[in-house]
Amino acid sequence: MDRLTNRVAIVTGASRGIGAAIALAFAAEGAAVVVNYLSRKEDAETVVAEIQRQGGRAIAFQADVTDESAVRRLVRTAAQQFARIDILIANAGIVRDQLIAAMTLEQWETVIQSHLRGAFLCIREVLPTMMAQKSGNIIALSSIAADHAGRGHANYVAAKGGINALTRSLAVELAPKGIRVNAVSPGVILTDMTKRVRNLANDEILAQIPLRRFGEPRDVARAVCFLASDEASYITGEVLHVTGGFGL
Amino acid sequence: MTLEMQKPETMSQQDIEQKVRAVISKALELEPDEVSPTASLADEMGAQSLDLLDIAFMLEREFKISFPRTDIMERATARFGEDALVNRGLVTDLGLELLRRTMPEVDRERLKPGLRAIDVTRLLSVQTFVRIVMRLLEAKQAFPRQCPNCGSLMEESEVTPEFTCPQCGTIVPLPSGDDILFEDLIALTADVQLQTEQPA
Repeated sequence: MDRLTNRVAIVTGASRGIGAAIALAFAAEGAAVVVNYLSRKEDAETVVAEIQRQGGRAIAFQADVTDESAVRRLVRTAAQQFARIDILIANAGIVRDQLIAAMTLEQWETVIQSHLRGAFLCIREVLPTMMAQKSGNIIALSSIAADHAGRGHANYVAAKGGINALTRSLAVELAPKGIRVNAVSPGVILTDMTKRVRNLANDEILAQIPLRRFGEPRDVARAVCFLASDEASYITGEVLHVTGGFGL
Repeated sequence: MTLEMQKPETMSQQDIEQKVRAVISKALELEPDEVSPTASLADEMGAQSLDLLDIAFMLEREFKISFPRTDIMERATARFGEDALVNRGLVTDLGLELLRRTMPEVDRERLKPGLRAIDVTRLLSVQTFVRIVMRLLEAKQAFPRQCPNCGSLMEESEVTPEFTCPQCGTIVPLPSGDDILFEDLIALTADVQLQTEQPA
């Protein structure tokens, strides 16, 4: 497993869930990883320790991805620590579910900002380095929710729809510099984020998944590894669904 | 001696031009001798808009300066308004005069009526970037090195265009290239404003 040897990756929101699984999978493929987190320092340090225990290279770095100067420090630290930046995983984001008629502006903006503003700031900040390298790989985490309408999370759906559009737009804009941009769209994955909805409607959701199981974070991580590797060198602007067939 | 170790005041125009050409050849993936000082980056070297940004990023790192993100027409529009500069896609007489004053490296023959606004970026050459770099280095050299908080002598960052106080840790960024060139634009066109306000 050495598809990412000598590569350097920043994974935002990597202290747990899908982000942590991606960080661990990247390290197993040989990449040095910057494990970004917002508030879960201990969790992020556990991810770093696990990577180091397996002989990999990683650092944890606290940064709010919606804070311009914090993102600048995150990217600067990554470049100084590991001399280059090959991969950015724009994964950080939160949910604030509510029916639209009752949704507060704060709920709307918090979700839109964490996903879209966060992705924008991180992407913009890594570009000088990636452009100078004439190569780079950006993967944003989308969601099946962007394509499969549901009630009570319009802010999240709008944010992920934005991520898909951003992905296609940047794929065109950045291709001349050798930078690929893709998205991975998970279905219902066994994480804290989906715990509430699984508790409420476990069997109903499972009935809609042709593969008859919820996804594991490592299912998503494997797809991200593929897109980040040279095996996907001719793929850009794609949204790769990892859903067990949900929504087909 | 490497460039990074040199002080701006010891860097000659020739040194700067050589470095700028090296950056542009790297950004455009050309051999250094293919990068002519006066040729249009767009027309003769195939530079796209993203390449110009790439060059700006590289020059920022090379010289520890804050390169402008806006171009001359954007800055001029902020100063005079779009209608004064562009009419039906063509650069107006005022716009042409402004380009002559702010881009002295451009051959006057290219700044004639009929110039399309979308073709202004095609005027950019190595010399344009050399001029801007020299201006920003001059501004950096003139930048006060005394810490505004404790008065100690600040040190230039090795990585980013800012100064750090070794005593109290204050970080002071250099003024942005946009701000510097906008102030220059105002100074260079002070009398132009009078003409537009009091037409003959």
